[in-house]
Amino acid sequence: MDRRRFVKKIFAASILTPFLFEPKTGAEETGGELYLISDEPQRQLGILLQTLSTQGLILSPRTFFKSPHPQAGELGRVLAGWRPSFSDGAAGISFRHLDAASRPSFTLVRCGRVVDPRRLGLSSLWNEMQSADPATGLTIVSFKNPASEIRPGTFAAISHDGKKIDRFSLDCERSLTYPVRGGHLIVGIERGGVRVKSSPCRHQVCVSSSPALYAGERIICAPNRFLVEIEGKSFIDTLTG
Amino acid sequence: MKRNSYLSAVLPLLLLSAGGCSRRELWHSSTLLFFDTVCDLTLACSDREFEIAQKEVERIFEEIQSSFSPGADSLDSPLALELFRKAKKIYADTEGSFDISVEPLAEIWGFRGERHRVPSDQEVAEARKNVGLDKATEEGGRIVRPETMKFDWGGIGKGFGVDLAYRALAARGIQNGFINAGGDLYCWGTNPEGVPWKIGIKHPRRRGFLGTLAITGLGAATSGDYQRFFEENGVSYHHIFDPKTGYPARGKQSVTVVGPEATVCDALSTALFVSSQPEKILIRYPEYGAVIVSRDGRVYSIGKKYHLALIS
Repeated sequence: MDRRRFVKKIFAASILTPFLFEPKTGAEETGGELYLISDEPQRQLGILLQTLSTQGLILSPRTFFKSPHPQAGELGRVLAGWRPSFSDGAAGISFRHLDAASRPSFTLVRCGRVVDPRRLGLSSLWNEMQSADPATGLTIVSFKNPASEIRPGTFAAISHDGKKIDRFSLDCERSLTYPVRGGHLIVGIERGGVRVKSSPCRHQVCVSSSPALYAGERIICAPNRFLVEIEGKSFIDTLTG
Repeated sequence: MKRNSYLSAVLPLLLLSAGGCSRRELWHSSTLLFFDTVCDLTLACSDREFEIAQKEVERIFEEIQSSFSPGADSLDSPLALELFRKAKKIYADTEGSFDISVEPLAEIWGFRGERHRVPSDQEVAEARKNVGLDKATEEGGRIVRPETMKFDWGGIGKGFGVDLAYRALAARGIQNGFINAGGDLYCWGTNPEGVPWKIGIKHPRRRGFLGTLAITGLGAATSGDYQRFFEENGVSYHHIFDPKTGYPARGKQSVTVVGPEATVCDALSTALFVSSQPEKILIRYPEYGAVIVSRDGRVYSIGKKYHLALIS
């Protein structure tokens, strides 16, 4: 099915439209929603979330129930990352009953845009659902934008020669001095994060590094085997660059 | 009713986690200092196995570090010959955009000495006479090169170390993990959440990330103008030289390469950074893909498409 027809169909169905344009309440920063029209969501939701996660479109397949769901038991069994209550970075599942039965389908809206299922490699699931009986259950999975998961940390750790030598809070501005080969290395804690203010090393790579503020960010002074790292769980596993 | 559904949902999970514990495979991480950078090792294995694995990775990195550090490179060890062959092939495939013989350039620009400096045009021309890997060959089990030629293994050595370390760990039966040597990495199996590894790509100009890759069984590496640089008279000079001009390559801010071998990712990230036709290079490497940030900050990907989510 071509993309234009797919989008037209979804919006023309007028079933999803009220949800798509529903004003967001609270401070929840949603990166998107997955709308699944199906009376047996346990048959599709596991593969859908796993695929979206594999493709980097959502943070992880972890989920929790925001509101009671008629198939909660079955869904709990098939969702690998299911948790009974809210956990950080997890997607929230809610349920609505549709007044009129509609053809089973799924729609991903990401950052305000509808994503074509072909792009997700889910054409076969889509086709299979198109031939099923009309359904009245709408399962909505709301997930966060990866960018909103980048948060400033609250503690930083200092390692020297591979050993952790200090840990401090980022909430008050000050300077800390550490003895290193050939002199002292001064670490500054400022509103914008932690930075290396001065170092006796040759090329001053650490001093010219941008301040570290977010969980997982680091400043390295390789000649001194000195490492400043912001503590906390990052939404990525590791970093290149 | 509610309680029933809750229980039926939780029970299988409890059983699953109990099954997981019986194998005593847990996630372990450690930070190692090699190659003038921080190396991260994260593996799913037993405590004992992790201890052995870490020692093995340290041994491999130590060997790579001593065999390929500037000025101290050996020319007849099996390891040096193996990496030389790889470097020479990539040199040919990239029409000289990747060249390990750029060491004289790194020296005159002060990336080896006490101070960074901008050399004169004449100095650059002089140093360039000693650049060109086609002048080095393998003869009788050793690398033969002109006396004035020097190698900078920095654009391929870390990736090579990561590949060797991965092979050693895979041979020990470790099925999930990653090794990251200062941004040159290889990841395999799944992450602790049971899905592919999420790799952040550092933004070349801003704090935070350009995007994330969701990959497994693959390597990745990045070359960027922000990694090592100095400023003189308001102009910034970085460490990735165009072997054909002798000056820092100016066309891009960063290049991240993803593909089956970390060694190749490492070298290709430099080659694609330098080359004015990176798409042409990747035709020879159909299993590799790249995310490029152009000089004006435009982000685009070329070659094989991997799961990339850009952060707006």
